[in-house]
Amino acid sequence: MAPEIKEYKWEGKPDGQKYIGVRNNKNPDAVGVVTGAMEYVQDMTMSGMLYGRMKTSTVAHAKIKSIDTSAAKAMPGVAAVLTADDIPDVRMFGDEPVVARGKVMYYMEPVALVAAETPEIAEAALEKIKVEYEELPVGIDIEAMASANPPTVLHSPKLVKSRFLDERPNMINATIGIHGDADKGFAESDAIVEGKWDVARFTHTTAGPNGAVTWIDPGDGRLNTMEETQSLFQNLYPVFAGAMNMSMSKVRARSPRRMSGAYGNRSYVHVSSRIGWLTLKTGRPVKMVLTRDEATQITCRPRWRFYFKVGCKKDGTLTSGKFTAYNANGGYGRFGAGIVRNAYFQFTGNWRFPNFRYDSFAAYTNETPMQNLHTFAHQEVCFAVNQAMDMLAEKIGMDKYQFKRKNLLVNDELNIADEIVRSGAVEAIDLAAKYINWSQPKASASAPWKRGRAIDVGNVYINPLVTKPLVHVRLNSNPGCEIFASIHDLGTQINATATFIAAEVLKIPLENIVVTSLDTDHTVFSGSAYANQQAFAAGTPLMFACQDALNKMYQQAAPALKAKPEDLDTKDGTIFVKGKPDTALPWSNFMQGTTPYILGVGEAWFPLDSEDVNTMKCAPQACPIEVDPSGKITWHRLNLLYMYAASAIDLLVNEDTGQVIIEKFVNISDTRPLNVWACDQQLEMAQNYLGAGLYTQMVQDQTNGAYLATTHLENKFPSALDVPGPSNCIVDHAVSPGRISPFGIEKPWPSVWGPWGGGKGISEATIVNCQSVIANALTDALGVRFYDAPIEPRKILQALGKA
Amino acid sequence: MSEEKKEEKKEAKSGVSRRTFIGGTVAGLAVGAAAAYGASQMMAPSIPTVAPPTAEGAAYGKTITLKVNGSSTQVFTKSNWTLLYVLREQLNLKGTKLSCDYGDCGACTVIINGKSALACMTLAIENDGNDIQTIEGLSPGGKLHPIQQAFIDNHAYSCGYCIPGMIMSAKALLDKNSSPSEDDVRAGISGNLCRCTGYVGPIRAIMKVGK
Repeated sequence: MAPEIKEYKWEGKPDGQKYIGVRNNKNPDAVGVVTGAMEYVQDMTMSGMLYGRMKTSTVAHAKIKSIDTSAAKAMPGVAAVLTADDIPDVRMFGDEPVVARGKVMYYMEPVALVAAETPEIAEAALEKIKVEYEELPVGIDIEAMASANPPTVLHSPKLVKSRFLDERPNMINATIGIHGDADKGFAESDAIVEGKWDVARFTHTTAGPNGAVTWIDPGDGRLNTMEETQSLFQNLYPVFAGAMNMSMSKVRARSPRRMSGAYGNRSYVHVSSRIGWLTLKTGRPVKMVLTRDEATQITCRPRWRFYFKVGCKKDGTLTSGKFTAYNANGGYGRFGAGIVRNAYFQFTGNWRFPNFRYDSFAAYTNETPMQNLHTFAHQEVCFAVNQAMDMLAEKIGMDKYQFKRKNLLVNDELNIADEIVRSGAVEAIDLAAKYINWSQPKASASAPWKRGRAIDVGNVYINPLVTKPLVHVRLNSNPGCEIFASIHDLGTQINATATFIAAEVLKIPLENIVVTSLDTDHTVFSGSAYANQQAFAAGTPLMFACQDALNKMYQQAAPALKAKPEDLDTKDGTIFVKGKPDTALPWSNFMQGTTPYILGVGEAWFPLDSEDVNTMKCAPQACPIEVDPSGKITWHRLNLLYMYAASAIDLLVNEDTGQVIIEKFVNISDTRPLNVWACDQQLEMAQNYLGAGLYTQMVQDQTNGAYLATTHLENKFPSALDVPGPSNCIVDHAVSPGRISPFGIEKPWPSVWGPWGGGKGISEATIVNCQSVIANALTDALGVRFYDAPIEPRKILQALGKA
Repeated sequence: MSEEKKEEKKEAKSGVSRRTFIGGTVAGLAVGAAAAYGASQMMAPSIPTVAPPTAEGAAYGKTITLKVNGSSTQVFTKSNWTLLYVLREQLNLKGTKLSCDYGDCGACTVIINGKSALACMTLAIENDGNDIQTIEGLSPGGKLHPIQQAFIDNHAYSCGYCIPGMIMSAKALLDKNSSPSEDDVRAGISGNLCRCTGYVGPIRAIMKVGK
């Protein structure tokens, strides 16, 4: 096995840190995971519990003429059968009903709900429900569906409002971004390339299919839910309450300690929004776990079409870009309005375009409604962008790595949205070139194999989606600490990272720190687990909260230690006068009697600009974000930060069969790792996404919107036989924003910088180039270009004229 | 950036952003919160119309003997219940995970008579008298099995849902071949799909256990 390469640097890392920035295997959840004892929602039961199931549609677009539930209701063991007639007209995210109301918009949309004494009775009851449909034209063609005269209209009247082009009947949202004059830029270009790219749907494939339990608390009458969530407060709690047509004070929402996979899947309320009604109808706890087919078809990332035209000067300097994106959003809006806006951030984050024009459209189509899935469009956008960059480099005869490097934004540069950029992209791509030996000629390959290499770079934004994240900590005398925060562990090991942060500040044993479970009854709002923000958004106030608790304890201890509070320090559960360790007194001296605990409160502040609707630049009236006490730096931000990744690949492709073997995959991210091992792991996980370049997709019937494959294997999810594996180098490289943070742990932290100047996300950046490197390397090998992802062997042979 | 912009200190106004989009949606959902079905009013639970199945009550099934993690147990199974269902729901052994329920993903991998098997793809009734090892049997008295420890030390888990199944596949492999090659390890866990850890960590962990 070739050696693994793992490296990261942290200039000026404080001495004496035991966990933060130190590669270690500590994780409070580890033993539960490896012993199978960890309780995921699918494992939970309650006494007297009913089993829920959904009857789903067999057509993608139809009027529901009738639903006959009488036979199902008459079955022994069936406790409830509900259709839209039994549920008020509530809409999740503006348009999606709990079950189809009058029409179905996509294949396998829920149309009725069943609760029964056993899973078998529930399943049998589904068979007895008879639904009569009157089929309507199925709208799949995205450009036609986004037009003023679509072949079919899904929602009439429309329930959500588009920013532009609202008069178009299927338009969910349209966005414009303008910088300079794109046409003028093209007129000044020496070389121009353009293309049209399509990217297929791809499902979350979470290891645990979506599940939930709902029940009524007999004590206070509130409707409770336990469902996995990436956002207790911005999603599960309000959306569940809304779907139940209740005020939030009538519901209580909880989430398991760990999610069984997420990647965006858990940012919707698929299960308890349905079974909550079964609980209300029966008064009994109801559990539902979706089947794999249901879980696959209820959520996925959208299908995209992109048009991209780019120009440059002879010397490789970009002159202009024009990008148009169509999102085949599916039957309901969900996150579609946001995704067509945020796809723009690939261009704000990365590239130096003097002129740019961005147009994007999300329109209803008769498919599974889209959800956010790892990168929120950026992997797909990079599929087009990195290929276009290579095409342009080829056209002017410039090295592809040098061409990209030349046009990357660098630190302190103003991007096309008027944000100052903090970027490690140049360092990342340099390292990728180093580890793939870019300066050396390609290794040889013998027929029928051809060798191809590629080096790509991309970014994903970090948006806190919360202005003032709050964290509470409660110190106890043992000494110990409980953390109350909306920290959602999706497998990101944030539960561990949070204990690292608290342990470094409080200087008590890691084992004495607990991240309490997610529960609206005690958890406070510290952000959500999407947009790569969690370590940053929750980690920052967590540091403040720990320091606040210590400060309060120092106040209490000062008289006993005959010192000023600011002269005190703590270690191993004692308080002492700085420089005088022999003065140490235990925490328990100051937490007893009527003050047995000390509460610490931490709040951070992440104001972001709104943007000018027509240009997507930071609005001039908005505030600068800067909180540097020296007052020197002022920032306008649409996003808090961007995180960058460079990826390089060396692969072999068989010209006769289209088979691809990845020999080497190098992946570099520019984050500062708080939890080093968790960051390593995100970089390793990225190898799974090479599948999205090669074969992983939801295979879809383009005539009726049905998916032809719903299983993991049919969707061709990579296995251990497919990934390049540990003999390939993974480089983990910390650059920004840490080095611009002038503050050590002893000083008050400017909230914008995150814990130890780190905590910038990593996961989405690691996968952003996974589709494009495959495409660019195949082009390098075969001399033909691929515009349609994933690039299965069939497409390779077609491009070579062999199929 | 212009000087005026630098001077601006006004509150950020909310635009149409992903953030406000979600916020707006939340507000929209809260409309009409009058409780049509007021859960706050105590409601009597509905009475079950059938009792859950038991050995006496079920028409098609029988009591079988399973040797689970070294202990012999008698358990009722209906004839169409999978071993996965019986382990999880009758014996409350929930470390064996339910994921695809049709043999795709390997999350329910157990060891039956020394060979790794998918608990969702075998009926419980077929396993009368069989020796079943589940993840719960790997750490008697709370002492972690070397494979489990290696998964922790090599950070070979992310969400962790597929990990018990993968550890069981690794155990079946290592029981037969104590020094597997990397290719052996890849083949040994190729039936265990892992979405968010990927395979690099698990391969590394299993290789470290093998000598």
